[in-house]
Amino acid sequence: MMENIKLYNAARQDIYLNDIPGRNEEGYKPNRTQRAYLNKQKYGAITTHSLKIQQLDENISDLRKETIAYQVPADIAIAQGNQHKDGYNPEIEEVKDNIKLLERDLKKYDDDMLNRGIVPEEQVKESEPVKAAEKRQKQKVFNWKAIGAFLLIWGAGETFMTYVQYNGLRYDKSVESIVARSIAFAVVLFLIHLVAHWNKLRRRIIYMIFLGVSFFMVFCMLFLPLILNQLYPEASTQAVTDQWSLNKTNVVAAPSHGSANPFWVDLYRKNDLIPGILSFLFFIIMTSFTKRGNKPPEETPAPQPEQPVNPIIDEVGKRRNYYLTKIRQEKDKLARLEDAQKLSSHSSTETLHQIFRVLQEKQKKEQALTEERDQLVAARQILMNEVQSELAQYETEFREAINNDPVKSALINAGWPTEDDIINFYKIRTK
Amino acid sequence: MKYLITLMLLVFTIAFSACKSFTECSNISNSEAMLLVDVSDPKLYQVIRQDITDNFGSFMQRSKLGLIEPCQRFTLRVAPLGAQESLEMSEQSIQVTSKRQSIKDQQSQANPAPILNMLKTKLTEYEKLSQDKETTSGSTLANTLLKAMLQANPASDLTVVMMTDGIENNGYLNLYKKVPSDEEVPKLLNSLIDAKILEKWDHFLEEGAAPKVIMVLKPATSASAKVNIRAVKNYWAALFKALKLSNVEFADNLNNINP
Repeated sequence: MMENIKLYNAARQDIYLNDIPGRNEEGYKPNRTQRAYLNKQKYGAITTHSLKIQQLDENISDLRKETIAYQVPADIAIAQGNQHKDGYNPEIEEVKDNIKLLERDLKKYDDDMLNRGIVPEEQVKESEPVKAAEKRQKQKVFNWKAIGAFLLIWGAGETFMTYVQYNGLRYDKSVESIVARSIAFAVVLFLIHLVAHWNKLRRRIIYMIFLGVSFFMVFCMLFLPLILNQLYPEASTQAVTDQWSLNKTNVVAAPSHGSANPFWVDLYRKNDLIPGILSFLFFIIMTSFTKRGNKPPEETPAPQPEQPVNPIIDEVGKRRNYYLTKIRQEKDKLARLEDAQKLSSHSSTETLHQIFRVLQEKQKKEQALTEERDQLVAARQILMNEVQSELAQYETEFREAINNDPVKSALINAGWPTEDDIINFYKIRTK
Repeated sequence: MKYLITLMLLVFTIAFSACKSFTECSNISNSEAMLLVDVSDPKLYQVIRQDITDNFGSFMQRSKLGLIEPCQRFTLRVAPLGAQESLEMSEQSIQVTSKRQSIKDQQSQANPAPILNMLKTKLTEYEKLSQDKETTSGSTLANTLLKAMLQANPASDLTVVMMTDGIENNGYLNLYKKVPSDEEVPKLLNSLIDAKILEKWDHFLEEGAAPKVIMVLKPATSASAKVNIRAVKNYWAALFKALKLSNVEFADNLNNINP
């Protein structure tokens, strides 16, 4: 209200002094009161903001120009990458063609051989010394499958035999003896398996003698106790009642040291590992005094196999080997070229990555500048709206003042500022 | 190959010979039996001796005392029951000191011959005792019984076999004249049994002893006095109860023992 009175008084003063705002050829001319409002200190920020906005606009424009400028090196890097990549293509294609040709020739050769009735071998003989040495090395390794099969058979057989004979065995033998008996049996069986295998590879009389003796030992271990029990039965056990009875004239005494059996019967009964030990000793003597040449000739292949069974097959094998080797070499070459092709575009990719990082930074910067500009524009607009509002208020009071003076109102024709006039007054640009 | 096999056999041999714990007993358990034979009357003794001769074997089998397991010791003690205060006990042991040996060897170690020889010898001696006037002048059964049981190891399994007519005949009690009732028996303990023996007996029970008592009651053979065997049995049942013996069995001969 107070402000309105002030404005009204100011308007009356302006009318009295004939200081009427209006427009001429040069543009809008504010009167002193309007100028006072327009020049208020707080509205000075309109000019400041405008200058800053202008600067920001220039910076944003520069950033955009720089961004556009990076298009060229990016295009160059992409073009270079493609060029390098494409550079390998002819060679790769050539190698692929070679492989196809070789495979076709190999197939043609195989068909020719088949037509002649020669079945080409699928597996090519390696003639390199390293491979032959490896093969020899492999042959030295134990055949674990055979060993496993033997252990399984022995385990099953021994378990069954022990289970069936346990009560009888247990009467005469301690647990230790039963286990030792099983081990001795296993050793003899193992030696029989081993020497039988050697005998298959190379027949020798000593091997056959050993096998005969060992089988006899196995027979003894299995059946001799039963036979001896029939021929030379041992004293049967007494029931507890009889043992403790006082009625018998002969009380059960400690076992007598003497025996009516032949010495070898008692000897065997007390030492039934004897057959196993004898078999083992025989084996040691046999292997000690026989040469170790018990492997067949075909188990030691020569480094360069010079004894082909069929020369035609050997020749076919060599020819196939040549084709297969060439195909393998070409495939290796193809793999190397493809790897090189992938690596070649690595440098242009790096350049593009660098360009991308730079563009990202510029984009962030532009975004920040734009936000700042928008804030300044909004602040400036607020001030513009305020000053326009005050000027509009002055206009209202002026009109009221002049309406109260009928003489002056007929003579005075005031003009009122638009937004553009205000902009021109502050000498700012909004577009 | 041969070296591998030789090595294997060597390893097994060493392993087996080194595994003493596989066959040696780490500790031996004790099983004890005590045979108390009443020699206070010659006719009674003959009856008892015949019973032992005929049925000792089946008794040892039914009671399982005759089955000596690996790592077990069995001891048989024999003593006479008569008028004498002193205890003359003889004993003999057999034991099986290894495990996992053959059954034959185990039976050889558990051969009862030494025990049976000792028993035979004692039975022959007791025959003479049973004809001795000093021995047959009375009988102190309860006192001798406790003295005998106190000789045993409280930790071992003890089985006591009393072969007697059960008739106390001494300065403290004469069952020929009167058999005390069940209520009177606990009061008789202090007079019947030596105080020190009773004290040791309490301590013996506290140490965990839990002997089994088998009383083979024979009918009284005295022609002059008749005693009701059932009353005698009741008397002894009450006495055992007063002595805190819960595992008690009565039989008329060794063959009728419960297994």
